[in-house]
Amino acid sequence: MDLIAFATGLVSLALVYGLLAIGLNLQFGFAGVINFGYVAFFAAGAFASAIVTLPAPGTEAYLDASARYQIGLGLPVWSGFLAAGLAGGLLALFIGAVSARLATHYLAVATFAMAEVVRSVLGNETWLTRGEFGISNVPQPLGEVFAPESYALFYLALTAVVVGLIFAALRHLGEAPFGRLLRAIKDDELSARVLGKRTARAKLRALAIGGAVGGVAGALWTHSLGVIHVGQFVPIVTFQVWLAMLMGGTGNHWGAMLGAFVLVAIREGTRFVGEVPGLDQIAASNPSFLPSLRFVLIGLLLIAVVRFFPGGLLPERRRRAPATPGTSPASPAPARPVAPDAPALEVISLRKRFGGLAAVDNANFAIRRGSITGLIGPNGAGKSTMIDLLSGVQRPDSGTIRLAGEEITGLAPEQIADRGLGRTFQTPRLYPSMTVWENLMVAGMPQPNETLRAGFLRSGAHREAEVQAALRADTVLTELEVPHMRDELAGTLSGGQRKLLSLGRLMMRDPPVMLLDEPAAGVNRRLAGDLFDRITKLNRQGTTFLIVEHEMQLVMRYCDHVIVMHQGRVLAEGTPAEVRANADVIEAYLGGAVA
Amino acid sequence: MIFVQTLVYGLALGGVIAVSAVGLTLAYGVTRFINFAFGEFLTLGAFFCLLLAQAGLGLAWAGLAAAVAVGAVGVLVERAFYDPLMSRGLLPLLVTSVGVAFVVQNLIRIFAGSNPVRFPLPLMRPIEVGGLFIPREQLIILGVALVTMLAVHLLLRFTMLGKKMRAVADDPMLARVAGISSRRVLDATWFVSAMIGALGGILLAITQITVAPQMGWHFLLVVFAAVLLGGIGSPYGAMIGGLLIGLAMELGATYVAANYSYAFAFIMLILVLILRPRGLMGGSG
Amino acid sequence: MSDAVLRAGGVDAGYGALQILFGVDLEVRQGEHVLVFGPNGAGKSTLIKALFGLVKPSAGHVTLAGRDVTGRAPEGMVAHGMAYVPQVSNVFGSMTVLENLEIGGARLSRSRREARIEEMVALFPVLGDRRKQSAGTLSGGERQMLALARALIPEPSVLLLDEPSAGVAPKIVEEIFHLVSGLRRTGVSVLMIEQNARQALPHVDRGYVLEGGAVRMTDTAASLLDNAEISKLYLGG
Repeated sequence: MDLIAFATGLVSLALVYGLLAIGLNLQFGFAGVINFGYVAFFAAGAFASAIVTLPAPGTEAYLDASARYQIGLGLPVWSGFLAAGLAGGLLALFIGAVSARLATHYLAVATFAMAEVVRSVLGNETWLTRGEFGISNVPQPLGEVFAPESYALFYLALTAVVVGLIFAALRHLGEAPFGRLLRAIKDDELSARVLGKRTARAKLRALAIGGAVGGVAGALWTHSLGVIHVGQFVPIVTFQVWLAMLMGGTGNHWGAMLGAFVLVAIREGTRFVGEVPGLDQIAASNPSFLPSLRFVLIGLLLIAVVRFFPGGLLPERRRRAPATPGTSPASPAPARPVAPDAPALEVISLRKRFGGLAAVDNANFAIRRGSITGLIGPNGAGKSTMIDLLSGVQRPDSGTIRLAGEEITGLAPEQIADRGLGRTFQTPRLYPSMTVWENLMVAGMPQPNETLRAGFLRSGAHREAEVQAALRADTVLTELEVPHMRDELAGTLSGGQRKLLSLGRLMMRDPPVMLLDEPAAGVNRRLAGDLFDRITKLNRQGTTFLIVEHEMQLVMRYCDHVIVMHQGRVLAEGTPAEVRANADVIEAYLGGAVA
Repeated sequence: MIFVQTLVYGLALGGVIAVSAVGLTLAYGVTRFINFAFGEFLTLGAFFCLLLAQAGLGLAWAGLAAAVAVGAVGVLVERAFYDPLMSRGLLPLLVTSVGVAFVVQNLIRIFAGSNPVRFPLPLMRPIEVGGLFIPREQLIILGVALVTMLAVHLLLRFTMLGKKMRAVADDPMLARVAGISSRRVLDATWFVSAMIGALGGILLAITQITVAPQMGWHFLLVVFAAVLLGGIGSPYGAMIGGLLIGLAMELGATYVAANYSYAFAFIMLILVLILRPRGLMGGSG
Repeated sequence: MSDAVLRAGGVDAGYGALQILFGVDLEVRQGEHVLVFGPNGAGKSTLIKALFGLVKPSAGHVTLAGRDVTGRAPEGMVAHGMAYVPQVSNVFGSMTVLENLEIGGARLSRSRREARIEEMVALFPVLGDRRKQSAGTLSGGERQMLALARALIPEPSVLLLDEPSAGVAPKIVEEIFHLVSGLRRTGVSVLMIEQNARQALPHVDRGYVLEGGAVRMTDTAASLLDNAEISKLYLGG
C-alpha cells in the first residue's frame, strides 16, 4: 500500500514536470526563446490557484483549520486552475514585452533575473503569501469525497487528464502552421522576417502559452501537496525542467514528457543512496549530504546530457510531407495593383555608414518594372548592403526608397515583404532543421492561417489554405526539377540546392519584385544556366528582378539593364553593352588599364 | 548624515559588485558566453580564504593564496567543461555552466554544511569623521576593490598579456592569424577571471560577515545586473555598472524598501535595457 | 627548385563534403612576388586559407623553407615565418594603431619589437602619425597599411595577401600595389590573390591562373599580360 502511494505520487510529480517541460519546449524547442526563469510561471500559477481557492478568512473552514493567511477567495478548484493559467500567461506576456528587444544572452539573464524578482516579491509580500512560512491549507479538490488512501490515485487520474488534454492541444498546435512558423523562427528569425512573418508576435504568443502551461502545472502541484511556500520556487526548478526537456529531446513533446519521467526517477533514486552501505553512515552524520548529492547529480546530468546526448532520448523527427490530394492546378497569378508609371524600385540619395566606412554613399537609381537588372561591382562596393537596405534588414542613415511608388524607407523587413518585395541571401538562409517541403510551406502560408486560433481550430478555410500551399509547393518543386528533394532536411542540401530552395521559397510567395544576392555563386555552370532560365521565365510572367552577380557572362546574357556600384556609389548604368564599354567601369571593376 | 553613510555603504557594495563583474566580463570577452558558474568562484574564494585563515595564515595572505587557487580552478573548469563545447553554440555552454554551478555549490555544501559560518575578521573600530561613524571594513573593501580595478586596468593597457586578451576579445580569428596562441590567452584570461571572482567573494564575505555555500549563486544576479548594465564584455562598463548597482541597492534599501535591495538592482537594469538594449558601454543598436 | 620558400604539392581542400581545390601545385621562390588569379569561385580564397592552415588540406603537402607544415594551425605558421593579411576585418578595431603593431610583434623580445615597429613606421609614415588613434577609425587605405605592417613585424619569409584591393578607392588600389611592390627591398616573398588581376599583374613577377580549383597555367607576369586568350578569359577584355 505504501509502495502504491509512493508510486502514484511519483507518477503525478513526473506528469507535473512533464507539463512544465512541454511548456518550456514550446518556448525554447519551438520558438527558440532561452528562458532561464521558467519557475516564475510555475510559482505564479501555484499561488494564484491557492489564493483563489483558499476559504475566505472568517469562514468556518478558515477557523477550523486555524489558518493564518489574510486573503482567500473561497472559489471552486476549477476556477483556481483558470486563474493559474491566466497568471502564468500574463506574467509571460509581461516578461516577453519587456525583454522582446533583447538578444539571446540578455534574454537568458533577464528571464533568470525576473524569476528572482518574482520570488523576492512573493517572499516579501507576506500579506498575500505568508512568505517563508507559507500556507498549509490549500484545498484538495474533492478531498472530502475520497478516502485518504485512494485520494492519491484519484489525483493521479485528475493530473493525467489535465496533462493529457494540454499535451494533445500543444501537439496539435505544434503541427499546425503556427508551430511550423515557430520552428522556422528558431532556425532563422531574420529569414522568416524577410518572408513577411510577424516573428515578434508569434514568439510572444509561444511565450504566453508556455507561461500559461507552467501556471496550470503550478496549480496541479500545489493542490496535490496542500502546502505552498516561496522556498518551493527556487531557480533549480527551472533547470530541472531544462534538464527534463534536454534529456528527452527538444522540439518534441513526447521527448519532453519522457525526459520528465527519467528526471523524476533519477532524482527520487537518490533517496536510496542513504541505504547504501558505507554511504549510510555519511548520510546519517551529515544532514547536508543527501540533498546536496541530489543536486550534484542533477548538475552532472545537465553537463553530461548537453555534452554527450545533444539530441536527447527522442530527437526531433523529420516530418514527412503528406501526400498532396489531386494534381496541382496552375496557380493563379496574384493580382498586382501598382501605380501605373512608378518604377518597380527607386533609390534616392541613399546612405549607410558602418563606423568609419561608407558602405552606401549617396546612391541613386531606379528599376524599371518588368526588367531583370544586374547589380555588379567589385568586392566591398556596397552591393549586399544595398540589398539589405532595400529589404529593411538594415536601416539607411538617410535617403529614400520607394517600392512601386510607395515609400518604404525604414520599414521593418516583414512590412516590406508584405508590400511585395522578396529577397534571397548571398549565403542562403534556410531553416536547416526543417525539410525542403516545410521550408516552402512556411514561405507560402498566408499570415491569417498562422495565428493561434487557426492553429487550434482548423476550419475548412484553413485546411483549404494548407492544401493550396501544398499544391503550390509541389508546383515549385516540379518547376525547379527537384521533386525528389521534398523530404530532405534543408540542412543537408548542397550549396547549389540551397540556392535553388531560396528561390523556390520566394516563388511560393511570388512577390512582384525579387532581389537575388548572387543566385549562381557556388552553383555549377549547367545549373546556373538553368537557374537563370527559370528567372527569365518568372520575369516573363511579370516579376521584376534585381540580381547581384559576379559571373559577367551571366549578367551580359540575361540582364536587360546593369547598375555598376563602386565605393558605395552608382558608377554607371545602362545596357550590358553600354556598361561594358564604359571606361570608368573597365578601370574600377573589370580591371583594365585603359591608357 | 544617513545619506553620506548610505553612500559609503553603497560605494563599498558597489566595489564588491564591480570587482566581481570585471571578472565575469573578462571571461566573456574571450569565450563569448555568460558563465553561470561564476558565482561559485566567489564562494570558493571565500571558503578557501576561511580555511587558510583558520589554519593560521594572516587574512591578507590567505586571501591572495585563495585567489590564486581559485584561478587554477577556473582554468580547469574552462578546459574540462567549456572548451569541448566551444563550436556548439550558446545554449550548451549556458546549460553546462549552470550544471557546473550546481555541482560545485553542492560539493561545498557536503563539506562545509548548509549553515553560514562567521568570517574571521578582526574587530575594528569605526573611523569618526565629523560626527559620522564609518566602519573600517567598508573602507578596506572599497580600497581593495579600487586597487583590483586599477590592476585590471594596468594589465589590459600596459602588459603584452592584457593586449593579447583584448586582441582575442576583439577578433579571435584575426588574433590567431596574427600568431597569438588563443589557447594560452584563454587559459590566462580564465585564470584572471576566476582569481578576481575569488577576490570579489572574499570582499563579499567581509560585507556579509559570514560565508555560506549559496553566497556566490545568490550574488550572481547582482553581478549579472552590473555586467549587463555596463555592456557585456566591457571591463570598464562592468566597473561603472557595479558601482551604480551598489549605490542603487543601498539607496533603495534605505529610502524605499529594505527587503527589496536585490529587486532594485534588476529594476534599474531593466530600465536601462529598455532604453539601451546593449548596456551603457555596449555601443548602439 | 631548391630556392622555393613556399611550395604546395597536390593540395586538395574544401569544406566538409564540398571539395574546392583539386591537386594544386605552386611555389613561391625567395624574394619573388606571385599573383594567383582566376574567376570568382575558382578557389582562390580556399587556396590561401589552405596554405596558411585556416583550412586543413585533405591531401597534398605544404612546405615552408623546406619544412613540411601541412595542416599546422595558423599560429604555428606564423612561428615558422609565414604571415597572412585577411581581406576584411584585418585590424583590431578596438585597439590603437600602436597596439595593433605590438600584437604583431607579440612573439618578439621587447627591444626587437620596438625596433621593428619603428622600421614599419618608417615604411608607412602615416601610421607613425596615428599611433594613438583607434584602428577602427582609420580609412580603408590606412587599414590596409596597418594590416600589412602588422603582418610584417615578425619578419616573415613569405607574406600571403588576400585581395588587398577589396573595398578601397581606385586611387588607393594603385598605391597599395606599389606598396606591396616596394616590399621587395625587405626581401619578403609575396603570394597575393586578387580579383583585380589586370591592375595587379604588372606589379608581380609571376602569376598562376586558378580555375575550377586547379592551376590552369603559370607564367611570368609579362607573358600573361601579353597572352590574348588569358586576357580575354580572365582579365576582362
